[in-house]
Amino acid sequence: MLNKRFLLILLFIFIFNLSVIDNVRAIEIDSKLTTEFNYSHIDDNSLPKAVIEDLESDIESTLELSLSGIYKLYQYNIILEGETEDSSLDIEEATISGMIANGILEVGKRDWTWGKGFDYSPTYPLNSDENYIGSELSWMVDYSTFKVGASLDSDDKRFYSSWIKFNSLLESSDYTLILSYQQDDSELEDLYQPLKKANTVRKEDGINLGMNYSKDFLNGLTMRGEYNLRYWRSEREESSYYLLGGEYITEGSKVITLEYYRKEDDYLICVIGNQGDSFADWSWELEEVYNLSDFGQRRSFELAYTAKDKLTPSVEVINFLGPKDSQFQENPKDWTVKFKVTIDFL
Amino acid sequence: MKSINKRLILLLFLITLIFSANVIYAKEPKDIIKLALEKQNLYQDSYLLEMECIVSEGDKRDSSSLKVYIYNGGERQMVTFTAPERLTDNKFLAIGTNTWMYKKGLHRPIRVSGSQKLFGDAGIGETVGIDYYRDYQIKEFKQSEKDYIFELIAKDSKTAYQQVKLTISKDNYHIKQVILKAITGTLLKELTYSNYRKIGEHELADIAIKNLLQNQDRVTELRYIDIENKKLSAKAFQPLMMGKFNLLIRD
Repeated sequence: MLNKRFLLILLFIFIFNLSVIDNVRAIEIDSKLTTEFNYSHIDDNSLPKAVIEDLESDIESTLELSLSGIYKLYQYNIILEGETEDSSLDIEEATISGMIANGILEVGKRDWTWGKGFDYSPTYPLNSDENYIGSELSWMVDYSTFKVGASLDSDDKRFYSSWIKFNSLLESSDYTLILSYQQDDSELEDLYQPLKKANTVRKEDGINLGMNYSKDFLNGLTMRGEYNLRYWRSEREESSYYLLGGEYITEGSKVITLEYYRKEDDYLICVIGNQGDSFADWSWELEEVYNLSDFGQRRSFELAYTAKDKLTPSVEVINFLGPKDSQFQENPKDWTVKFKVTIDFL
Repeated sequence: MKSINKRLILLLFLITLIFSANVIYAKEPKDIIKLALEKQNLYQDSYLLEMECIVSEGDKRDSSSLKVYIYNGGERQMVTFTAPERLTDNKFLAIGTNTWMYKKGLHRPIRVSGSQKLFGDAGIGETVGIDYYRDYQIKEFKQSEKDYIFELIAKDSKTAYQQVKLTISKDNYHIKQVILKAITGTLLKELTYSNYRKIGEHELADIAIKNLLQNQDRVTELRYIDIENKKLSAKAFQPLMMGKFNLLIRD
């Protein structure tokens, strides 16, 4: 652990010192410390007191160091993240991009998410909350972009995906066609068949055919849609995932978002906030997520003070509502308050 | 000899009159707009504009620094921020009537409305420049003692500002004021041009923007700091490649 941290810090210092070399241009260094204190109300008296106390409150601090820039004809980006709670230091992102064969090749670890959705993209085969090691080659022609890529989970190398994407611009709209393959050879616990032998490996590999589309109606309203057809080879079954949504920006720079999507269940998202006003000292957002299948709800309100460049305090209140057997009521918390302060050192 | 002199004078007078008439009739209303934009000289070639945007509202004042990349006379535009820090991760790309925003942490572009304001009341159209000559036709033309006054209507129904009232000075063909309107004629924004100066081959002004619908105490000022002719490639201006823009413009 100590060697890993030492090597990471050395790497950071080495790249930082590239700024004194003539060929290096536009190096950006950023360092942020985020401290978050959470308090939750536990709505389950059957839990032991010690567990309730443990779930009620927690505090965590995260230090993020990022370095990005261009060296000759290469662009690099590195983000290190350390958490004080467990004294960990990890490479969150590390990518290098360069020109190759009239295109751009990017290699490294990052979030490869694509799509139009606010919170979810049906056509993206991986977990959008995770970063993966991968590579992507892009070619650009006139009003189109063509991409070929692949990635795998560094913690579980049996989880792998590859894709081909084609994006094209139209007048006030654009579409993307996506063909992707995913393989997940990880072991799964099969809770519904307890008599199965231990060490059973359930192979899942699927092919996805998807498309997304977005349009600007040029009156403040934009719309977007995504559709993905997934065919599981091992299971020989198909499943459809889709999203339909829109966003409207008002004359007062308020942004209203409405989205419906189908994952395993059907969801409706409503968001309203003042993200359209970059001059505002206060940034706020109200979000409601409804699970239309089990009638559970997640409601959150976030308020941040953004007038200071180097210091951003914020507070978020999250409320979980609905029947006890709904998805959002699976955890014992019925509401949570998060206080967060972000300090920008550089 | 006297009669020859008289005829000569008369002939010279007639020639002067005809020449002057030609000069007057050469200034068709459309030509006046073209001349005003030619002085700015931003509607051909590719450029990098360094700009400052200052927003004032009462005692409050805030500023941002922008770099605007214009490809091929405005066919594609990219707006990036160099200050304040909270905006430096943001980029805006405009291609025709398509607009996208890119935030570094998202790794993907988000389509935004063309009405989206960049900073204060400065929208993308005013920041990257509106082409009154190519994108509009003249509905009405008037003259006052000092100015030419045009009522323009957009040629394409997809243009952000469907109607424009444009005022150009007779003395020097500088744009003095622009009123941007909706298709209904509702007044949306007022742009006032002042402090014209030469930056290289460009004659440009500071532009004060007032929102005529809301925030009537707020004034957003756009100032040109520097302009550089820059060789840019169309492939750098793609929504899926916004994260690689800095690399692509180096190629």
